[in-house]
Amino acid sequence: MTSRTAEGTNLSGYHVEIQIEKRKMRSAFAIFLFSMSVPYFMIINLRYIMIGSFVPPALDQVTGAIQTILLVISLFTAVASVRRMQKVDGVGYKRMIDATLLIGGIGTLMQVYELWYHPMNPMSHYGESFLATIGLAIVMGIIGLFVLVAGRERVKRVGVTDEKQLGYELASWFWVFTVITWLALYIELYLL
Amino acid sequence: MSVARIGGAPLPLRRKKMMPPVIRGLLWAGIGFLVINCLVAYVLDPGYGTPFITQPSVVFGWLAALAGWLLGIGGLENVLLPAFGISVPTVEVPGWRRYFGYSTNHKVIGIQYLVSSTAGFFIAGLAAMFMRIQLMGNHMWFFPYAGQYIETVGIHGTIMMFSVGTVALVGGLGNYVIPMMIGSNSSAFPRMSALSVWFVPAGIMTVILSPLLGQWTTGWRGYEPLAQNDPNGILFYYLGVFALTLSSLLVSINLTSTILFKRAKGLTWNRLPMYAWGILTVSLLNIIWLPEIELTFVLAILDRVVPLPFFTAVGSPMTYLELFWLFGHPEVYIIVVPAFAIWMEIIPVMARKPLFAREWGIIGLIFVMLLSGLVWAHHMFTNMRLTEMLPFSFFTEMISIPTGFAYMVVIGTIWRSRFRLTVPSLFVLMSMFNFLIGGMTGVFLADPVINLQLHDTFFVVAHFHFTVIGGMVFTWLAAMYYWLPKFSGRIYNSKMGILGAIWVFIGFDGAFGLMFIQGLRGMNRWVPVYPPYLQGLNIIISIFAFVLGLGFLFNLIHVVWAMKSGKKVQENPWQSKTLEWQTASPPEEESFAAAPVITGSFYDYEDTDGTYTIPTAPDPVSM
Amino acid sequence: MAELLTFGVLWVVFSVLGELGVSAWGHDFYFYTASTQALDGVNASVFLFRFLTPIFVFVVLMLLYIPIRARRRSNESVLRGKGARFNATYVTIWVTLSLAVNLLFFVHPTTSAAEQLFQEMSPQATQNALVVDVVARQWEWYFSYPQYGIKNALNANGNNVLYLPVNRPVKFVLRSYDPNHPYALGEDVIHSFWIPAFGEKMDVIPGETRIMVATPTKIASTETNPEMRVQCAEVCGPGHPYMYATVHVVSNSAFQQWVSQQLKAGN
Ligand code: HEM
Ligand SMILES: [Cu+2]
Ligand SMILES: [Cu+2]
Repeated sequence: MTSRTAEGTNLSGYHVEIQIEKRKMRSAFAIFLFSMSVPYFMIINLRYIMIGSFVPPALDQVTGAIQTILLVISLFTAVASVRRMQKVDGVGYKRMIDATLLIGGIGTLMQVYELWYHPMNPMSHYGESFLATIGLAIVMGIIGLFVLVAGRERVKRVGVTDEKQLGYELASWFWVFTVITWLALYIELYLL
Repeated sequence: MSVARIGGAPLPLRRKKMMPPVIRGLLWAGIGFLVINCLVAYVLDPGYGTPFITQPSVVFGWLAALAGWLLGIGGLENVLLPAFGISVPTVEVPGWRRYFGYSTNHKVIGIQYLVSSTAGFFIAGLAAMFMRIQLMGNHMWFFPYAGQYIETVGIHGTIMMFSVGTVALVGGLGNYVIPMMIGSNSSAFPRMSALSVWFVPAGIMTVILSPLLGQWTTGWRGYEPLAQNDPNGILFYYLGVFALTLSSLLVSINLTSTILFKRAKGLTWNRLPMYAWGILTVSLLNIIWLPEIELTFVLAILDRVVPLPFFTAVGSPMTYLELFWLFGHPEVYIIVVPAFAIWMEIIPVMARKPLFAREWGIIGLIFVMLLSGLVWAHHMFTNMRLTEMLPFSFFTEMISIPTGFAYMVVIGTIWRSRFRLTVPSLFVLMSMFNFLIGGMTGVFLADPVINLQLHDTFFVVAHFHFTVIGGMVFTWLAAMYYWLPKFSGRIYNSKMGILGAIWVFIGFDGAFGLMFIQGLRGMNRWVPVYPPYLQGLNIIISIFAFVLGLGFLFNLIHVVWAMKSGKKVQENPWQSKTLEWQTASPPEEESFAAAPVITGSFYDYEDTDGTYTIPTAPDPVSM
Repeated sequence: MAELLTFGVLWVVFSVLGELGVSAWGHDFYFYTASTQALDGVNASVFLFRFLTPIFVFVVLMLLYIPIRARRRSNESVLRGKGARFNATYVTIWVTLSLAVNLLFFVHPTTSAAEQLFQEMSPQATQNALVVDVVARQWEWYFSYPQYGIKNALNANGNNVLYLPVNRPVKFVLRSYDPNHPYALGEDVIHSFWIPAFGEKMDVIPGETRIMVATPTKIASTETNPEMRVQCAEVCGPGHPYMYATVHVVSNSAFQQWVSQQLKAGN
């Protein structure tokens, strides 16, 4: 009897610990994202300091729109992967990550294409802002894809447990962060 | 290698023997650099005549080298492969070797940070000695060319600011002490922390090696557009600072989470130690401003490598100045806020009295943090619009009020106490005296009309050394002596400690006190040659500076000696109530055998009531 | 109480001594002043010294006297200090005073001196000023006098030189570019135009035009006082330490004579 209660309390103590652990992870992740949003805030401001709200007519609006739509779709698949993970569905998670990697990867590749192709002179103030901004998005996008790949491989190898669940979710949330920040950059670069 | 079998003992599990981590890291860094550098320089972006090292190739090569270094140190087995779900059995090597590799123990990490910082301090200090030797003459004699002197100034400033000022009290002491202070056996993210410390040696090495790429003459602020016109050495300034600030950013995220989530039961916000408050406020500054300067430096690299015109003469150099000082001023508070907190940590222990007006101390730290983001342009009075001067002057003057609270708290604590004049308390008092001079001279600099005369002269050099050395380095020494029994279970020699304190005090106040006068007499910064009338005083300053340098060396030797063979002391020689002292000295692998429970204030020396209970730990020292 | 009294007496005594020191040496704070702007700065500094002296003495005494007074004697066994953990009077006085002193400093001398400077730099005040066009390049100062047609003032050795008449406001118009390579826009960097004896400096920014105004008050030259020199104060490359020029402040008639000399030499 005594041993059973002891075990019972131990078990709930263990659960409490996991809960605290998860809160710690979530808050650190939030701090990290807050910190990472500073460069975006800066680079948006920098563009307005350098060139105001000028948008060159030569800009490739079609590619920009298509890749943004693709990235938004990948945002939804990333959120879906989180939902699967919360249901402790490793296979579903992996499938959704695959979809995110595919669509998001194409979107990022299109960004690389734009960086490469850039129709405006890099020595112009819009040109330099455009290159630096889209470069930031690409670097963060590549990191995001890398993290997704890691999550995918990990779920294949070690599966899902209560403790490990949050790590997978955060990988997907990081991708969501990169897409949302790209949306802000897209509106700033292509529209305003 | 074969394993000797002793008797019939089972053969130990054969592991592939790993190279010493540092060697492996260096090797992989070298390989990474060579491969990526050649790839970029010869294949992807061959330059005219394909020189072996081009600007793009060295940037990408450096990134590969950093990755190789971190993976080689142990990041591969412990971070990268596990992230992909591949688990590799690793064992931490015991003994002194663990300090030269990947370790998740926050005490080991703290020592690693402290040693890196100390190395940075003495390397950059040696550079300062070279500068002072040159300044003993009024023409070029120690350095062949003026540019080499100015480059030395830049390397000195960069290493001091980013590997000492920002690191020693946060990454170093913070990692070691903070988890114990809040009653936890580990920091929040030990694996991240284990890796983040290895950015520091990489960053220091990068800055030191910068002359290999070419001279850079901008000083630690990398002023544009000069940075664009200089040879390529400036690239390693950007990249080195990038690595160092990344390390501090990771430390801040880790320690913030540690304080938020690893506190022992009963350690409410009302009871949180002052040092933890200091680390929290400084972390917030780091979390906001370090990414800011990192992006600024990335843009500056793009300016050179692509090239883009952001901060060049045809772009907007003033934007760089704004972006630099937006970070630059918070940076000086990043350096000094932990020092304020340590004053308020050491003094109540030495005074045997409750910390006076504790809330005001915390309010002071928080308001210093908030205001520090509003004053950046006081570094730019000589190039801003007249109408913008007054607001920045206003906030700069106002920031002295919350700064003063730290003094109010400490003085109130000592008042009518039973003050123990020990080596740590002596260093704290000296630090407060010196920082007072730094602060008072700051009032003159905050006044635009006076600033137009004093800016960019040795008056400013003296002012900021009084805040940085006077405020932070003296406090660092105080903290090293204070926690020395914690690190090692041994204590310093009192006489030697007092000698060391007086020694550096004389050297420091002599050298830098006279620099105020030198600035007022018309000596400007970054000059190895100057008009002859300034030479006499410069020689005296240099002699004091050598005294100071030897004084630091003396303290280093004394501390190291005391750690190895000082007198053994009891666990808690200061009878402090804070939690880190309730563990064994030096602490066991797990600081607390069982989680402590906090029931009272750490700074209450009036009653003998318990402040905490530590279930199965040895009895706390009776008071 | 006795403790407070002793402390008070010490504080007053040392503050008075300090104030005497300020009276004796405060006006030499800049060592050498040769313009009205430098005097503005010195006066502001002396005012700050007046108020900072008692504060400095107070805190230093606190850091010295209190720890020594409160020092634990070695024969004392009590390891516990007594005394309050809060004292509303002390905190209120401290906070109010530091706020008051800082607000005072902001009003005077900061704002008042700044307004004075802005006034001296205003277009009305500089209507009759001598205009000197200053061009900074790596690593040389060029001076030209558009009102007199001097394109590039040089001394007998061919070095750039600055001549100014005494007691007449001078408006320095500061630009950074290389007159020898005006097409190479990307080559310019920031410099800072500083004459130590004039008590002010102004950065010279590529692509922008900055103004600095000074009224010389003493006849002097670099030879008579080395603080009377043009010195670049912002690091601008390996040649930065060598970026200085000699200055001569002369009487009005001597200035006219110099002008005609320069014109005759075709500078
Ligand atoms: C060991 C004693 C030290 C001596 C003798 C010393 C001396 C000097 C000297 C002579 C300069 C050159 C000033 C100039 O020409 O512009 C300088 C610059 C500087 N020092 Fe130190 N210093 C010491 C320690 C430190 C420490 C501990 C720090 C910070 C943690 C520090 C931070 C700086 C910075 C940021 C600069 C400006 C560099 C620049 O202009 O780019 N110094 N120091
Ligand atoms: Cu500042
Ligand atoms: Cu210069």
